[in-house]
Amino acid sequence: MIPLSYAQRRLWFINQLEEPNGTYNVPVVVRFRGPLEVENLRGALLDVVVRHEALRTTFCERDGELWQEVTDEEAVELTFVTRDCAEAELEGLVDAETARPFDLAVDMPLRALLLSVDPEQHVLVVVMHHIASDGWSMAPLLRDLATAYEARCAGRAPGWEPLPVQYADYTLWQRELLGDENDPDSVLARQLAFWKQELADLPEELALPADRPRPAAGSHLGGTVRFEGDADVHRRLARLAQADGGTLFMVLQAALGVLLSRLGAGTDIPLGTPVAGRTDEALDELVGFFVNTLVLRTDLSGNPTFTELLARVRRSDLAAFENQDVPFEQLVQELNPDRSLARNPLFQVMLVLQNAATPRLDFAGLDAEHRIAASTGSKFDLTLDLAERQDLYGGPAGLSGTLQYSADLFDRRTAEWLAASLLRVLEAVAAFPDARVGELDLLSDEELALLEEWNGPAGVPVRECAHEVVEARAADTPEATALVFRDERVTYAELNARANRVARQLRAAGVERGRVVGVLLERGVDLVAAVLGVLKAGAGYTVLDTDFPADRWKAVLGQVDAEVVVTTADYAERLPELRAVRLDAEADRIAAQAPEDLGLAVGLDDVACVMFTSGSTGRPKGVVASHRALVATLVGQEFVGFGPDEVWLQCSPVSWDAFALELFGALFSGGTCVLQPGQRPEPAVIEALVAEHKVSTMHVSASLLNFLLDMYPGVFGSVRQVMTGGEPASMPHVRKLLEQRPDLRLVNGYSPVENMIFTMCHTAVPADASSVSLPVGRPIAGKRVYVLDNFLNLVPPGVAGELYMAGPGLARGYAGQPALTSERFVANPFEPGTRMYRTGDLVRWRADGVMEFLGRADQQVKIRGFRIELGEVEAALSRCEGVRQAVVLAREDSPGDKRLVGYVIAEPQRQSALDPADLREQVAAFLPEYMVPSAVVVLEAIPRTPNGKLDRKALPAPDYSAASTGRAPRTPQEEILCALFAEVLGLEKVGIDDSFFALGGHSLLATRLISRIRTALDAELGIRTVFEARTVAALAQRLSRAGKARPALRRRSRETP
Amino acid sequence: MSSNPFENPDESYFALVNDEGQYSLWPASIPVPEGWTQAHGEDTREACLAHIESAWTDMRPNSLINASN
Repeated sequence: MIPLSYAQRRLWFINQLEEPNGTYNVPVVVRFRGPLEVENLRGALLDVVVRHEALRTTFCERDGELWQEVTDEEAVELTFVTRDCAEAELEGLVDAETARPFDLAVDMPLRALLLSVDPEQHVLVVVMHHIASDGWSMAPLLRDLATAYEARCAGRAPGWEPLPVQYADYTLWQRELLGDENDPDSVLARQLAFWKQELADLPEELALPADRPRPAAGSHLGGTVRFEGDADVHRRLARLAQADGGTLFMVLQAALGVLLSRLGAGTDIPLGTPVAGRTDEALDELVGFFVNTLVLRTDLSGNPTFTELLARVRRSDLAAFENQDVPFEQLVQELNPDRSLARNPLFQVMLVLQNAATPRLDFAGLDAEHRIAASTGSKFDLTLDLAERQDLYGGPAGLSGTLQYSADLFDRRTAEWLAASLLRVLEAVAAFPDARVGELDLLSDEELALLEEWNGPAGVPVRECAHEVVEARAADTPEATALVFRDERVTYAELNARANRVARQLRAAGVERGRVVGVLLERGVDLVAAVLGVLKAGAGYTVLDTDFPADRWKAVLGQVDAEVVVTTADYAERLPELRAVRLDAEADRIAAQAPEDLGLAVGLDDVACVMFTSGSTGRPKGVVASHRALVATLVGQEFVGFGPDEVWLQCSPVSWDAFALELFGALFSGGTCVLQPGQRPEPAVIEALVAEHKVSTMHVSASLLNFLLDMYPGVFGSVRQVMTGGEPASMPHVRKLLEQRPDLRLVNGYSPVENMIFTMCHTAVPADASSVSLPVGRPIAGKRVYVLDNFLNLVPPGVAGELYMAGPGLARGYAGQPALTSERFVANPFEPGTRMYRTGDLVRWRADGVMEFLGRADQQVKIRGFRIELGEVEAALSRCEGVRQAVVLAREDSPGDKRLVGYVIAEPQRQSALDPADLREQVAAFLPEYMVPSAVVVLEAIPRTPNGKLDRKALPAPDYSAASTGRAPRTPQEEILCALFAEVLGLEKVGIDDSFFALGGHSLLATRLISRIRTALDAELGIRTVFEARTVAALAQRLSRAGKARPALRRRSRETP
Repeated sequence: MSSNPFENPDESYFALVNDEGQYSLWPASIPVPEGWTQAHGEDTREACLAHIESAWTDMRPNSLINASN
């Protein structure tokens, strides 16, 4: 028997591994017009099958090795089905025949269906498995078929020369040519050494602008879009290729690299491309699977010009083509990238420039037309297949292309857009080959117009400072209630007068325009009067949380050069360095101040407030915001309803920008603000306040929202609008709220404090329930956002980019930190002379103009090369029975070993403890394996920072040994399996919970394992089973369900040619 | 995203300044936006930031400084 060629081995493996499918079927469709002699066609096809051994070869596996068997000429049974059908049925029947799978162990790799519309109209569908054929086989196949048909019609045998060699000869010759890998002088060893170096540190997975996350196992379903490039561009590209001593293929490869890179795939772009593999002319006339796949690495680092890029491509391609003999499958085995059922190893995007000979169709007495059948499957994420059209003189007349896309990842619309974008790249590089690739303009006019439209409405021009807006309300409706605190109700007139008196006291204490004054008071009416008083005195406030340590107050006050603090006598004692205006001790003096508005000159760009956030260096960052920023964010907006009838609740910590939202949201619009006693939001108090004061509008952080919904389901009784934000909202909770209160407006607001309170808002709708997380929506009036790539170009909708923000909400910068300010508040290329804030957040526009938050740009989670949205894993854990809340992190507790870890807290009513192993199993039931946390840790509470945000650093590292790798076998069957795992993996000992793949197993070793299991345990398992049940324990379970082993294959003798 | 153009310690940068006297770090490989001029560089990221730290002493915008005086 003959072993398999390397390429055959891989296809055989895929054929066994996957559910039966037609992905690797190669259809040939010929339409005949004229008097077809059906029996002669059948005979002719049989002649062809007899002539080419590859077409009558089956495959088998024995003792972990693979063999091919050529059926004897006399024993060949050709599958040739004839069927009458209507013209309209043709396409469906051809597609169905093309998609029908082969079982390579049993079936001949060629079958035919002849469809007859009428005696003069026939369609022949020859379907081969790729293991017996390739693109370059079409010409010899059809030519031989025509020759044989003509001979048969003339009543004689085909008069062709016997083939010089057969595929089996090639198989053996290939092994001889490549030599032994262990011999350093062999072709194989030398070429492998080249590839190891060439492909070192290759990205495991190319980031593509997909519509959906990658499923655990690819379905290979796909579609194809067609496109045409015009003659002028084709001509320029051909000239560009010649000018640099390259080829059109290289130009196309470079252009595809530019496109993918600009769409977020990075600067290191591996592409696959087929090479004919017929490196000896004896193979030219043969039908068979010779094609090999090369991985071409395209290096776009350093923003080269297209011409420079082309030179790089030429250099690396020439070297690659010189080393094209190493079979792709051998390369995969050698480089051993992380294997998966979800993606092709080493590359996920294929580039083809057709150069196979066009088959000639001289069928006697017939008009025959070869049709390329549309393939419905997709082997790769994307396959770009291009062909050159030629004019009458053989010159460039345009490019015809198809883009085949994986339906797992892409919608048809996205594939069409990708094809259109590629054409724009080709046009751009043809026109400006010396432009840097980062400067090429890739957005269509339509996309630019969309991005402009989505940037939202212009804002109302700001004319008044924050305190002036409140003064105007006090003049309009002096008797309206401004504040409610405990039993106290304060009218606008009273609040304004009180603030004016504080302002005069502050001026007397030396406060001047432009200075920053600390406000250190517990929440209450005095706090609000102090904040307004500071603004009226021409200064900006910074509110210090009374719960924070004194050292933190000092650090903050030092940062803004504050000389004065508004406080009470006891707090003042703890800040002896500062001049204190003590509202309690100096009450009489303050009461004696005049109550009228001061009318001081204060500009819109003067500081209104400084809000502190933690800095990465450990020094707090004070965000200096102007009156303009504050007023523009809360006046003339529609992200919630504003007005005198709204009753707001102020419960957020006073050091957040949400404090300004809750307070000035009410006071700027004449509404009422109910102040919650106490520094931290207190759910029971909130519930009582909402009920007592008919609160209509509130803001709660996402985690507080979850908590309230779980524990105080009736809390939102009178509330009409709820804003949330600060961190991604939990979708199960959002769904619950939308179902319970369809009349309630739930708004997801989003902004770093650097652009004041909210930059974007999204009103939740029932359709959001299916999203992974609540979108952040669109910019509010007057604010601008830009999603940019690494060259600061706008990226098209659907493509991930980093979010930059601009508009009147923009802070002046970080107090006392000019360098830090200049790094984050940078020149805005879209509005001359202005700045934009660089958020470091990764986002993308959905096709409907709603923005999605994807995570931090600098903390993208990748496990074994897979991109993972942690929110999806968190949502999955949250759905488990008994789990109240879940947080998922990618931890790297030992270097280079990044693992997902889930942290959960149990429902409070729950009696028994949560079982981590059980949770992992539950999650594994609906998440791809790579998204299942390696460990789940049950916690009493999720650790939080002083500001109430998740404290990631305080989450404990999981104890893997507790989860027991190395658990001993429990049954004789497990004992045998442990031994087999160890044997195949070359390890001393394997525990029953150890994953085969985590221990270094790969797909070929899995084949061996299956074979060993069959011998040792007399049980039949598919390779797929090892991917699904990766541990001894899981596999043992499967074994008890598996069937008896099939009979051992009969050894058959075959002469070696 | 591989690397943000403002975060690459090996690239060269400018310190830009606008009419308001506000400074911006700026990657030298990307065209300088309209309305900004080079105050320092091309130079290392660190040197540009050091220039800004010493030159940008009053962080209020110029229009505000003028209105306040």
